[in-house]
Amino acid sequence: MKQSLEQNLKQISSSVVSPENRSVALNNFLVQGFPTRREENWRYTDLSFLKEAAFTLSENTIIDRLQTGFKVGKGNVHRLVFIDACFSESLSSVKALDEQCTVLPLKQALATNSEIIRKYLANAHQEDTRFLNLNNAFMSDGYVILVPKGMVIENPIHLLFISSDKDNVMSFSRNIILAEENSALTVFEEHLSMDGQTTFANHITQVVLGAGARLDRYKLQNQNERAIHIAQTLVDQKRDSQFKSYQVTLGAALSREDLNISQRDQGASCALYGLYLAEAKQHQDHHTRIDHLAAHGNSVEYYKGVLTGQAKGVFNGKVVVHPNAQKINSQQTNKNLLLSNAAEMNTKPELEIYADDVSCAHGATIGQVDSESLFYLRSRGLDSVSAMSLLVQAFADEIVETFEHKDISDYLREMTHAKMSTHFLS
Amino acid sequence: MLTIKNLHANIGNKKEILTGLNLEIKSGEVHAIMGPNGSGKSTMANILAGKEGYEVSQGSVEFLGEDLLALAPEERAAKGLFLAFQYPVEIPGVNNMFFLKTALNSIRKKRGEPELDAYDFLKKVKELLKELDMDESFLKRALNEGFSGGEKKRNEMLQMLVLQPTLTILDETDSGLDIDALQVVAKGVNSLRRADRSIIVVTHYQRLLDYIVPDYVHVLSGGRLIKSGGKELALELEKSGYGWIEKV
Repeated sequence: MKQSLEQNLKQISSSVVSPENRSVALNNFLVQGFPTRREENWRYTDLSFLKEAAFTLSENTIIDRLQTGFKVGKGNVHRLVFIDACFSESLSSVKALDEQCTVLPLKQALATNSEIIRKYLANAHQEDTRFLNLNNAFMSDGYVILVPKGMVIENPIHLLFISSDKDNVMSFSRNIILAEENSALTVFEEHLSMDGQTTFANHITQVVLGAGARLDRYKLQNQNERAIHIAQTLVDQKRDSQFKSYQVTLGAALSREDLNISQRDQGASCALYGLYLAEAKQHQDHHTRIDHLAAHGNSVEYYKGVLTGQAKGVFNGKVVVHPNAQKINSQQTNKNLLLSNAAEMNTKPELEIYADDVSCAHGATIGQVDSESLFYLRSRGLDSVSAMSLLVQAFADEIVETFEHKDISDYLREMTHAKMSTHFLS
Repeated sequence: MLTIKNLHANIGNKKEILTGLNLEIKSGEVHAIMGPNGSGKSTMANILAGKEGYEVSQGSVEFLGEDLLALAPEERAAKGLFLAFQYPVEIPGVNNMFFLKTALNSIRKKRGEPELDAYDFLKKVKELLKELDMDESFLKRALNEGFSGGEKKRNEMLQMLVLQPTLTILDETDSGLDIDALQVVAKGVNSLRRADRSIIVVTHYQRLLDYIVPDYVHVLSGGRLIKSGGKELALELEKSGYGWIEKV
């Protein structure tokens, strides 16, 4: 892959990062290489095949249809669309937003607001810098949302990423959400594929929530069965800010989500909900890390997964309570349902506590559909497929029911039910 | 309607629980099956409903002319068999109303009858709720989740009245009910009695039989019926316990 990456780098014509910085970033990455299974953080997710792979960047792909079925019941939907991580002006629409607020593709945002954005780009911090380096070398575009102090954006901002129908395309997006003091917004990131080609996508999203700011972030990953999807989301929380994350993972051959949250000041809270449905040979990996760095922080985490076929799932939820972060309340739950003998789930909750006055709990389960419940439903006339489907749906719906935004929730429910009825229960 | 012949059953080749059960139930009859704990009452009820985990080593069960043991649980339900469970399971996330409607329409569909539309169904269910002295909020709750013991039993009765079974088996429906609830349950069961329907009342106590008066009373002990008689047998059992019969 080394040669192909270097080749790709040469061919980038215009970019948000200077050519020098790109090659430094790529060289850093090439020294580090892709993660291997010898590392604890990648123990169950094997990326070794990427060494042999040759992907190319793609620009200027035009598509004429949105691909998504997401609609907003009332008012305008603010939407930015990216095809292979390149901005599609014709499919995007950002209507009736306050002028003080920025919702722009990264390239355009840099033209108007470059100082602040460059500062954030340079400040992305992550223990594992490999994908960050790769992303720095190859990022094409991304979204930038800046919400000024006190502003509340009513309608959700829809961020649609589509992998085009070209084979072996790689794409890198870099996204920034900056919500200033006491502002509030809802974003819905949706990731799709146009066709059944093999694609590699990496998305890095940096979020900074100012004091008292609120962000509800929904993400649907529904790419095709050959896609590789690797995403990192880095969230910085200031005093009394609230972050809610709703992750729905349905697609891709291999997906890895890293969600890292740093609560830097007192009183911050986060709630992370996740639902993943894996079939055939899908591999879905969710890693979350919450760093409680200040006192009086709250975190709630609830992830559920349903796996069938030969699918493999990974959940790793790490909570670190740093010294002096007293009065922390943290709860973490991961529940999994295996519908076939060959499906596999690896779950690992991790708690590291360096403060003494905290309340932390975690738990994980892996099980099968309850046979008593199944019999009860069948004894009332439901055939075994309907009974099974009802129970699996009820299991998954518990997460969908936490979704607060009605339009997004309806859409995600429809998508999850569609996946369950076509792939799980026939 | 139901003919059980020389039924032997065990759980996974361990101890035999039913040891040669014979029972004949004709249309329109109400049979009470009484017996001490561990005599095989619930095993019999579960085998009739089609629960997995029991091995029938000998004997046969015929229901409306068909080999009952060869049918899947949902096929038994479609033929009109209903078991009111002793311990109904709690199923979080499945709405009670949705479940009732799905159950009824599944059965109607299997019988080749048209499905009931939402309006007619709701009207019917609301009438039945009133009959069972249940609040309408029951319909909005998840199936049996967080229900008290009495609420679960009433919910079983609601399902029974919605599905209008041909053969109803009540497995200790009276346990955990106070006297008021017992009368409500009995009223529901009695409203079901018809010349073409039969009921098996499995119970430990005579109390329920004051309200659902049986045509026959049987004593099950050691996995088979050791005594049968009319309703007066239940009173005798109440007075003298099971001991005297088991010694015979």
